[in-house]
Amino acid sequence: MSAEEMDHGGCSERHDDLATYALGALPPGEAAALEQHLAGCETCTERLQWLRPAADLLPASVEQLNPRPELKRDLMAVVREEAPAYAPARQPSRAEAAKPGPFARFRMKLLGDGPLRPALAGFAAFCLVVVGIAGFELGKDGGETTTTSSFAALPTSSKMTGGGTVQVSGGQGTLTVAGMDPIPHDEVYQAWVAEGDKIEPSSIFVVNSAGQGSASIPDLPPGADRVMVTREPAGGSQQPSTAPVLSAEL
Amino acid sequence: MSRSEISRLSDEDLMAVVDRKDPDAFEALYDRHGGAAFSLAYRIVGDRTTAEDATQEAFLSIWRSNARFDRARGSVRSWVLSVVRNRAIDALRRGGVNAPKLDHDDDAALAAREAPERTDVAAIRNETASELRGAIESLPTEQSQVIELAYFGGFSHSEIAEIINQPLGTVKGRMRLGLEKIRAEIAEAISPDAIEGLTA
Repeated sequence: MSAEEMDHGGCSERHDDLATYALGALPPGEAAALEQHLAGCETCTERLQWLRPAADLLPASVEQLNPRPELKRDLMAVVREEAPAYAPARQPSRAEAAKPGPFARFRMKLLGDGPLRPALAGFAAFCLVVVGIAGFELGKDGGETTTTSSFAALPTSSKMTGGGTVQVSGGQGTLTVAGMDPIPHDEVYQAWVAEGDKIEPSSIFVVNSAGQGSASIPDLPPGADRVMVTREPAGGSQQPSTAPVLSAEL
Repeated sequence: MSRSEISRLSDEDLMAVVDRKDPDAFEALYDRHGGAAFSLAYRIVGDRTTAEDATQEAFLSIWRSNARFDRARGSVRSWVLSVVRNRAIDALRRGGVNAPKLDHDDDAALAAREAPERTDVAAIRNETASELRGAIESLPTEQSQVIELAYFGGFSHSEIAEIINQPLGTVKGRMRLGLEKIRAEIAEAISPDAIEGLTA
């Protein structure tokens, strides 16, 4: 079908928008409006389908390069490390399905024994991941055995996004987060250490565009029972100024 | 599923296995599209390290996000590349990398290429890429300029209008004319199988 043949659908005023849309240059609001129109307009849908290969070919027009092998090595190291945490996403055997696993027990404790409510399903799926990677490691350090404990840092409500782990070893902690909301340049995330009612400020950190970040927690007292994360003004705060977005029970 | 079974899957079927968090399937996905993804990211950000970061972020987001691939909206390759494009443009907008190149005289990219690892497939892709670049270059400058600013620069139509100091309607019209020419004069000159090979 040629461009001319497709100009008789009565939507010619939208044709410029279709090309802009195919190139990804239509602002989100206008793109949503166009998508709504497309849902009910066969002519525009056909025209977009005709036009789209031209936009799809643009990446093929660039010089084809080979990335360094280290890129794949590093990527697959992360993927293979994370894969076990997703294990329940794979099809369980009949025996496995009959026996409540750690996540099922956690879910029952958290949400009750029953189907997940949709609003909580995403949250629970996230918990599955972080609980799956929480655990203990033993290692040798200069002849002495050290214990590393991992604790899940969970969103404080189903409206919060992201999560992570706190790894504790030898009175020091490392907080690693992922999936966090991006924050403006005049804000930071800040970690806090709680010991009963006493809350002490710890490191501030920012996250990358993927919502990933980490922070060291250098002085973790033996009685610390919680690590929390809040959003604070740039430079951090001495007292939390917003409600925690993540909390890890130690 | 064994690696040999995975290797025989179509992209669409492979995505179903990736969704089940199978690392071998994910590795196959990277093997099929990682090179094109990195090439696109490099074209956008103009910096090898940033391009690798953007590629890695994009693939990790696919791995972690229960990949929302919708076969009704295009091929797996197009979808993967759209995720990479978004990440690369994010990186570009965060700053710290070179502005997008508006020409194709890409000596740096040629220097960065690791020639010994090129395969026949890559060579064919490079040949086609070269033809496509030539075709895009044959567009009137005002059309190729807005297409490149939109696709490789990540600018919206109104931002482009501001950059080139032209009315919004003019910018949108140039995009349409340019894209139609690519579609009619170039894409139709390439066999449907070849298009499928480049976008699938």
